[in-house]
This record gives sequence, structure tokens and C-alpha cells, in this order.
Amino acid sequence: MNMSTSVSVWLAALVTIGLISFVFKENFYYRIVESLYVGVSAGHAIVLGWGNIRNLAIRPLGEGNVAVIIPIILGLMLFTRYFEKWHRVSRIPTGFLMGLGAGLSMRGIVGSQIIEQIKACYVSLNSINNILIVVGTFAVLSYFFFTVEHDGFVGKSATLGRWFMMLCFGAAYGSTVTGRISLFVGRLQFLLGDWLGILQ
Amino acid sequence: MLSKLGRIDSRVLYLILLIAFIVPLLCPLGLPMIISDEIKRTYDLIESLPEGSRVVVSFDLSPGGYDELAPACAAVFNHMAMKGLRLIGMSFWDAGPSLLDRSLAGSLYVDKEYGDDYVNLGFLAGGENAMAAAARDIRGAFPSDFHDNPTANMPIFEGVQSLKDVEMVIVVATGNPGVPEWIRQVGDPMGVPIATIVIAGLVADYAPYIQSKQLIGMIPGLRGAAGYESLIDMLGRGTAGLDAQSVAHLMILIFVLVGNIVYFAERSREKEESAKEGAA
Amino acid sequence: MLRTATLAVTFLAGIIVILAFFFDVGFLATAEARVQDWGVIVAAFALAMASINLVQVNIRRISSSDDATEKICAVVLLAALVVMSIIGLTQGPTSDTYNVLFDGIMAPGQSTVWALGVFYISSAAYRAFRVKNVDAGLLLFSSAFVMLGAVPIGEVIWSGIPAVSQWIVDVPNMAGMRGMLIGAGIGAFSGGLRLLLGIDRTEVG
Repeated sequence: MNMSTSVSVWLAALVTIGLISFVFKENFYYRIVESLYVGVSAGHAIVLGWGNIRNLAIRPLGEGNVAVIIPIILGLMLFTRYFEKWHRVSRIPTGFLMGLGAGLSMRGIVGSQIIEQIKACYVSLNSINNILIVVGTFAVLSYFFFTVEHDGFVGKSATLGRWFMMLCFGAAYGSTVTGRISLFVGRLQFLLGDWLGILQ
Repeated sequence: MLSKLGRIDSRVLYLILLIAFIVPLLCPLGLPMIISDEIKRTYDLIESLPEGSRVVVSFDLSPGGYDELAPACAAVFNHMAMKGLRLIGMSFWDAGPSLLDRSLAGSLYVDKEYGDDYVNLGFLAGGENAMAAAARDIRGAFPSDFHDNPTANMPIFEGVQSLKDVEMVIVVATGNPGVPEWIRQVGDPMGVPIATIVIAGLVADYAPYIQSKQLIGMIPGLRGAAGYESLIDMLGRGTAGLDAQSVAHLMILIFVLVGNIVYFAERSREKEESAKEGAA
Repeated sequence: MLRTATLAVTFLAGIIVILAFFFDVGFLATAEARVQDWGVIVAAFALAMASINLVQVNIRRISSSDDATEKICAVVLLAALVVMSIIGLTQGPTSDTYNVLFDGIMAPGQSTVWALGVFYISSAAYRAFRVKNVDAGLLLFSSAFVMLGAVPIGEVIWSGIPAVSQWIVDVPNMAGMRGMLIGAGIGAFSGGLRLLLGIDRTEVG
């Protein structure tokens, strides 16, 4: 057994144990650790955000790039939401970010998420798997046709679509379980290995 | 007996699960490895790249998923370093750069030349927009790296203007922005092959991108790490955690099975009782 | 006036990046580059917003709560936020002290919170995962095989499990996910269009 002497490993072990203790009962130790980690995470976001502002706005401004004044003003306008009288001004930079995000995703979604995915359905129907892929995709899409009454052929197709989605959700649930188990294995490897030095 | 099982305290279940985790970690069972096609395809793609090729690694993850992805990152980084590939790291999640530093420090890149063989560019705010900005002009988006060194004269960027000039992108992802955004902004419009090291919870979600070949390869969490470690013949934490994963999975399925047995037994008992009352 | 300005800024920001994607024209490419670079800077400012909200909420907790634990937690949270920010802003996010806080608190904290999900999943598996109808049966069938296929013990139980698991992910799951992906894509596109054209005015109130 070779126990760690590192400060950050000890701190991490105490945080880990504190948070795990919540599973058995909510307690003071857990709540302190939780507050500590939320505060540190929020501080980290500020530090990294400032890094971007410094590199992309302040330094270029110092080098004579006056155009960056515009995004700096837009960025500062975000904070008007904390002032009763001026809070509506913050909607301009919010609109800018939303419009930019919408434009970027729209131009990408049509190609990558709609056309490419439909193209991938153009498979020869010479195997059961290929038939299932095509039928399943269209059955799921028919489930979301809420403008059409779900009876007759559409109703049957929508039911089939729901079954396909159940298989999807099952696979997603199974994968999520695997993920959470992996994470807990990671935490135990840290506690038993990095901290206590029991694992080799 | 069955009704007692139905009312069992959750903490008893937690304790059983905890034991199921710890015992195989302390006493490994040595179960065999699984290497899926997606893992093999990622390995083959990295293997096929000539020495000196530049690979962008986007660390789009939170510390929440890092434990699951760290062993796979170590395995892939070691493979890339052995092949002499150059690694350009960046992140669109705020915790990404610090985590990337830790992954690089634990890999064979630690013996390579910073700024020439690998670089950690840091974090860029704005999600998909930031990805598009970096894809268009990498040094414009990252004038300094995470350690505040200017990127303008770094040898690793010679001949690289946009991400069209790199050979491959590996997205290490725990959510969005992540793989779909990279496909939309870089993979499809620029024709750069994309592979991902991803938490197991997203494997089912990304299956359509694998079939449509918009995503070339996928290494799913800890089991992907174990498979990759065996491919490069450097066993590590992925392999070590596999037995604990196996037993914990089995335990959860046993919980489902016992839960259903209790449920059906109680339902049939209730039916019998109501039938008796009806007859009376 | 303010509303019109917001709608105009929203429309312009979106339409510039869309047009620049389809038309290879010099001034559009320049405008796109500008708008994207500005977007990164504004987003960096926005990062601080969440922290400011957190500070507001916790100052309120300190001043208005009667519970001592509640107050102590709020003070600890604010102190952690201030200390992390000051160290990061003065010494940088790669300094030794900063790394101790990152490695000792932030990384294990988030990691453990995510990992705790396994306990709640196990409890839900025991109490709520009932095969009451066909839908639930399919859900259980799919999840059980995917779980067992993900780990070596599945192959030990039955050698066919990895193949069945892979088939579930690659065929029925893939088809279903693709249907949802296309549907979500159409939804996101129409949502974006509504936003740019000012039909959906969520951001202007």
C-alpha cells in the first residue's frame, strides 16, 4: 500500500467521498463539498471567459484593431439586464448570438442532418437489415406526423415507429448505464489506486 | 419473502452494487476483450496516416465524463505519438483545456516537442460558432495557446490555415457542442475525416452518423479504451476496469430481473385475492 | 425602435453566415469572418452571466435564509468562486495553485456527481423497470442486450450476445435514431427560420 502524499489527490479524495455520502443520506459534509465545487466551477468559467476576451478583444484593441470595439460593446450590453431601466438593451446581443447560432446550424443541418441522412437510406433492399433500416426510419418519421390522423395505414406505421423508438430508448438506456458504471469505476480506481495505493 | 424484497431499502441495493464494483477491482477476473468494428476503424485510420500528419483533437467534454474517457484518450494519444503524428488540441468546453493538459502529460507526447509535435490551444467560447471560426482560420481564432504562448510562429502550424489542411479530427465528447456540430461545420463541408472518443451514453445516438460514414470511427468510453489498449498492446486503466464493469452490469440486470419477479408475483397474488373476494 | 434593432441584428447575424456558405463572394466571406469572430467575443462575455446569476442567488440565500447550514453553504460557494477567479485571473489557469483547485475540487466533484447516477439507475432498475406491455418489453430487451454486449461477461454468458447487441445498435436503433434525427433537423431548421424572420420573438420579448 502506497498512499498518496499529493495535496490535490487528498483534496479530490475528500470531495469524492463527500459527494458519494449523499447516496446514503444528505448531510452537512456533502452540502459543503457541493457548494465548494459549484463555486470553483463558476470561477473557472469566469477565468476562461476572460482569457478569450483578453486574447481576442483587449490585445487586438491595444494593437490598433478598433473594429473589436463593436463586440466589446455588444458584450457589455449583455450586463444591462441587471438594471431595471436598461434591461431590454441586453436583447440586442442576445439576438445577435441567437441569430448567429440559428444561421450556422441551419446551413449545416440541411446538408448533414437531413440530406446526408436521407441519402444514407438509399440502400439496396436485398437484406433484412437494409429493409429494416428503411422501414424503421420512415415508420419513426410517420409517428411525428401529427397533422394526419393516426389510424389505418398511418396508425400502423406510427405504432411500428413507436416500437423502433422503444428499441432506440432501450439502447440509449443500456449505453447510459454502461457510461455511469464506467464513471464510477473511474472514481473507485482513483480512490483505491491514486489515493490509497491499493490497486496496482 | 417476495413482499419483503419489494420493500427493500434502496441503500441495501447501493451497498450490494458497491461491493460488485470493488471486489473485481481488487481481485480481477481476467475476462476477454471486445474490439468492435468502430474501434478498429479508428485504429486503422490513425495507422494509415503518414508520419508528421496533423490531427486535431477537440476536447469537448466536462470533468463529469473525463474518468470514462481518459483511458481511451491515453491509448489513442500513445498510438498517435508512436506513429509520429502531430496533435493540435483545442476545446469548446471550458474544462477541456485543463483536462487535455492532464491527458497529454500522461501520454507519450510528454517526451515530444511542444509547439512542434503537439499544442494545447485552449478554450474558445461560443460552441458551434467558435468551431466554425476555428475551422476557417485556426491561428486567427487562437492567437495564443492555453499557456499564453503566441501561436503565430509555432512550427506545428506551418502550411495550416484552416482545418481543411489537417488530416483528421478526433472529437472527445460528452455532449453538445460536440460530434454533430463538428460534422456540420468541418466534416461535411471540408471533407475532413472525423472519429470520436465518446461516453458510452452517446453511442446509440451517433449510430446514424457511423452508417452514413459522416463519422469514420468511434471509441466508446472504457470498453473502447480496453479494446484500443489491446490493439496497441499497451494495457492500461481501460483494461483494468473492465471486470468491475462486467460485474456491475450483471448486478443491474439482476436487479431488473428480481424487480420484475417481485412485481409479477405480487400482481398474481392480488388477482387471486380479488378473485376470491369476488367469489365470496 | 429597440425591438426593430434587435430583430435586424438577429436577422443580419444569421443571414450573413447562411449566404456566405452558399455564395463564394469576397465581401460575404469577410462579413462572415467578422460576425463569427465577434460572436466568440460576445459569447465569452456571456460566460460571466451565469456566474453573476449564481452570485445574486447566493447573496439572497445569505441575507434571507433562516437556516444556518444554508448560509454557510452560500458563503462557501461564494468564497470558492472568488478565490478561483482571483487565482485564475492573476496567476493564469495553468498555475500550480489553480491546478490544485481544478484537480482537487472541480474535476472530482463533477466526475463524482455524474458517477452517482449509477446508484439511482440501479434503484430505478429494481423498482420501475417493469415489463407491463410490448413497449416496455422492447425497451428491456434492447437495453439488456446492449448492456451485456458492452462488457466481456456478456460473451461469457452466451457467445452470441455481442453480435445481437451490435445488431440492435446498428439496425433498429440506427433506423429509429435516424428518423428522430431527420425530424429534429427539420424542426431545428424551421425554428431557426422563424427566429431569423422575426416570427418567433422570444429574444425580443
